[in-house]
Amino acid sequence: MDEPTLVVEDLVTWYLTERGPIHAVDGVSLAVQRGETLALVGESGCGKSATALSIMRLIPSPPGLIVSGRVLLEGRNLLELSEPDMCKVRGGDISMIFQEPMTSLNPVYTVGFQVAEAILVHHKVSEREADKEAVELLDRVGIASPARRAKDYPHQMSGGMRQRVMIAMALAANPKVLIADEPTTALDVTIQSQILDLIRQLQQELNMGVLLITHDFGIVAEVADRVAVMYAGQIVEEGSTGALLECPTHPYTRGLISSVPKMDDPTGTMLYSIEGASPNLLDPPTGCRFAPRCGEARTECRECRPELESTGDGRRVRCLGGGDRR
Amino acid sequence: MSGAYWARRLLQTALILFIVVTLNFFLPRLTPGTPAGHLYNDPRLSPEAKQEILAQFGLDKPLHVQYAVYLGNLLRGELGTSFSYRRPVSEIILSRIPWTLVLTLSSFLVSVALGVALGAAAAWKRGGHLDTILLSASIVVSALPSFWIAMILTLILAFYWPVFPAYGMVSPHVPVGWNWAFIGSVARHAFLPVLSMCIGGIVGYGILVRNSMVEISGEDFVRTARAKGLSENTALYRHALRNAMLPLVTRIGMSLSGLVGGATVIETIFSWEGMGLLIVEASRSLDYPLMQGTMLIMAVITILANLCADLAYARLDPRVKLK
Amino acid sequence: MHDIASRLWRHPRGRVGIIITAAVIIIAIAAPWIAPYDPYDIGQRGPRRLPPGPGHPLGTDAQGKDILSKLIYGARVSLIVGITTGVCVTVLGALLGIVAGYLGGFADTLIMRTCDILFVVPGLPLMILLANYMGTKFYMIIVIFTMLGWAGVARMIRSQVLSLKSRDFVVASRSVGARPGHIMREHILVSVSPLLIVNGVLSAAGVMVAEAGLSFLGFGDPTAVSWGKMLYEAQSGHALLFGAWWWVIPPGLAIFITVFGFMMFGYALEEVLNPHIPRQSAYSKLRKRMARYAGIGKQAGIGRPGGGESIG
Repeated sequence: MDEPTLVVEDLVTWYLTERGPIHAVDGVSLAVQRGETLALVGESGCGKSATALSIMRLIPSPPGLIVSGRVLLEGRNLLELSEPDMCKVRGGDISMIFQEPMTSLNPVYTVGFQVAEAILVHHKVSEREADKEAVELLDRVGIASPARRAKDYPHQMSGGMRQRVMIAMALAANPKVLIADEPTTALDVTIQSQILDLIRQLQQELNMGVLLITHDFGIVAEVADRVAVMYAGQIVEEGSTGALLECPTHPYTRGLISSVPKMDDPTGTMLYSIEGASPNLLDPPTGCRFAPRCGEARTECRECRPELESTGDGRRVRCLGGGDRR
Repeated sequence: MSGAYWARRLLQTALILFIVVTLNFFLPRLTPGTPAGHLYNDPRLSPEAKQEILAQFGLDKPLHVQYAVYLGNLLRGELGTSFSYRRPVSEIILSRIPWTLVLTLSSFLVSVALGVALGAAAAWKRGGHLDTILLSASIVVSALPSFWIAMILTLILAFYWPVFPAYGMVSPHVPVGWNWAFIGSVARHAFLPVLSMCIGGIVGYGILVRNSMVEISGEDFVRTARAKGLSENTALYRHALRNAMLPLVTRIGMSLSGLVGGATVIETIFSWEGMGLLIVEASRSLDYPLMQGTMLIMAVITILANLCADLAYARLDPRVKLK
Repeated sequence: MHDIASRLWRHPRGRVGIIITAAVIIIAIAAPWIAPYDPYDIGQRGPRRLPPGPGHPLGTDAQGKDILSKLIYGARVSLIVGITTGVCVTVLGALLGIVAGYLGGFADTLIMRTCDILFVVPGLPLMILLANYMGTKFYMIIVIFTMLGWAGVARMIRSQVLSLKSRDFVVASRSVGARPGHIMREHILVSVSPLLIVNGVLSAAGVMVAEAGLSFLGFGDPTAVSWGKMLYEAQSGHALLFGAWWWVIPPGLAIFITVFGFMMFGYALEEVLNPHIPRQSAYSKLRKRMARYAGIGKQAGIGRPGGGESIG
């Protein structure tokens, strides 16, 4: 196996509030290889987006603060880079696309300008060449008559089109890693699969590593090679998509997967839902963070903090039960 | 910008202009103590003389005929004859407009330029010294009447420490014309009035730009710009400031009429012979044709300036043409 | 009601506003008892143009009237004109705004186009004109200010009404057959009333500045003693050429303090009545916390994390 392109080690990010720090990301470690898609899955507020923004060092500060950890891009720690160097990384080596294509584009500039701007930041080309390249990029992400559409403003485009523009922008400098933060959540279902297909196709062409953030196991099953499940700021389980979906070991993962409706389920059983709410990250539970909601929790689960432990086949799980109880 | 937007906006402006013109005609004729009444209701006048005056000003004809004559005159640029100056109103107003423009335009430009700079700088270092000063200044300044600021400034900068003239537009010995002595003298005289008119504007625009910058710098598209690799500065100034300009332009449009109103008081304090002082003088001497003419021209100027502000907005915000 | 009052009192700006406003109102009511002279009484005039000194703590004006007494009596005009107009503007604006927003159609077009005109026509010159046509007795001034001032309130209330109209509770009461008048009274007026109260207080503050401006130009009530007129007299008496600061500073300060008090009161009221508006102090608390945690970031060797701020 190759050395992973992007490695995150023990990342800790806080949001400082009046009532104390919120431990939004609490010791997350993950790795993405070239050509691979890692899905980061979890409920909203579990720290998925905070992880992504911390990798990009785009956590709004204040109130956000990256407290510790390392983010290694081909061995280089991004958290130690100067701001100008980091600017070269953003949109250069790592690109990011966001959940809301409606608000993620600037309403007062044409989409062509906004794509060309991304090219100009990372390449020494003239504005005319950048404009030309922008049109090529728009063509590449499947926008029909790109030369004409480049002169459009975001409000003249549909959500799917805008997300394509966002992707074009992200591809401007042939990034090694693409972080996609819920790229299809705001889109219609039919458009969703088109966008996912596009991301997958471009990933193969460019041999990018993709960190896909989502809460949707349907998307995970469709596109991800590996999955990391996040709960309350921590990764609770990680493994290859097939294995993890086939036999999830962590009780939380099992709960998440069984709360997804299945089309081919003939029994028509009630959808499962996990009781309770995510813990307050201002004051997380002392033991396992999932213990208060876990149907299988024992006394030790409430007292001892489980570590993320390897269980073979590249799988890791954070459960005192070892994840072998079913 | 689409033609339809232009056409609609121009039509709207024309309608407002027409209504203002009409009101300008009817208001004095409908309110008690009409100008005409003031003119001819002098008991010493003989009925014949009264009739003669009425005929002279066309007041003996029925109202709709008077209105038609008034509109016709307006179209020919005819605003009547001033009682006190015994000269055509249009001529007097034309000689006054440049002076008002000197004051309003320069104070407008200074307040917008400094306001944007201050507001952006305050938003940049939120909670910093500049931000705190701007926030407190905005509260203090909005409670201060501009004419009092002007009086205090005059007291300080013209009386106790006489660096600027307390009133007037140009020193008496300077020949009028496009020469440096004249321009310099006007600039020196204009300093205090412009400064007094600016203070409110600088702080007002400043706080507006500051607030919208703060709001917009949290928008998703600013984050996108940063994710592209733009530096924080570029992201803010290219992506946030342009959007922060939109509320500013709206505010400018709304404050234009206030600018002309402000000029009225400031011109009075500094004996600056512009339109504002003209309307005050005309009112004091009950010179109704002059009063109405000045009012009309001031209204037309602000309405046109407003149109400009709207068109500027449409240029800045591509979404407008769809509305 | 008692709850709102006590929250206002605990609000720092609210307390300042209450104290100033109450003080000015008391001074205005008690003017005949606390003023050393009666500025309306020709018999009580002293020597002219006295600088501040014993007997006349703020000096006398060009007619020998005591400045301090004029200052105290001047509070009456400012407050009467300010408060009455504030109420009138708010009532008229609310009425027209609700009618425009609720009825729509022709009424809406008519009212909103009138607003457009009032917004673009320069206010002060128009006031001068109207004052000339209609007279300058103080009730006429109130009528003029009300005629020219309602547009802002109407426009704001209209947009509120438009958004309220589609809310569930209004739709619900309409669907059970409530009459428009009833809906406007029971639902819409109740929902917009906090906004109206705040607006009334702030308009009163604005009107006091405008009244001072009109009086300053010499178009105030000729018989009344007002702060704006004191400044007019200072101006026409060439106070600035003689450095007669005691003619200029006291009335201006009086206007400033009164308007400031009303504004503080209004802003505090706004925050107390709408708890959604975040307080300024929240941010400063956050900054203090940031400073406490800043050391941790530095220890971990992390550059300044990027990006804009999201806390309002």
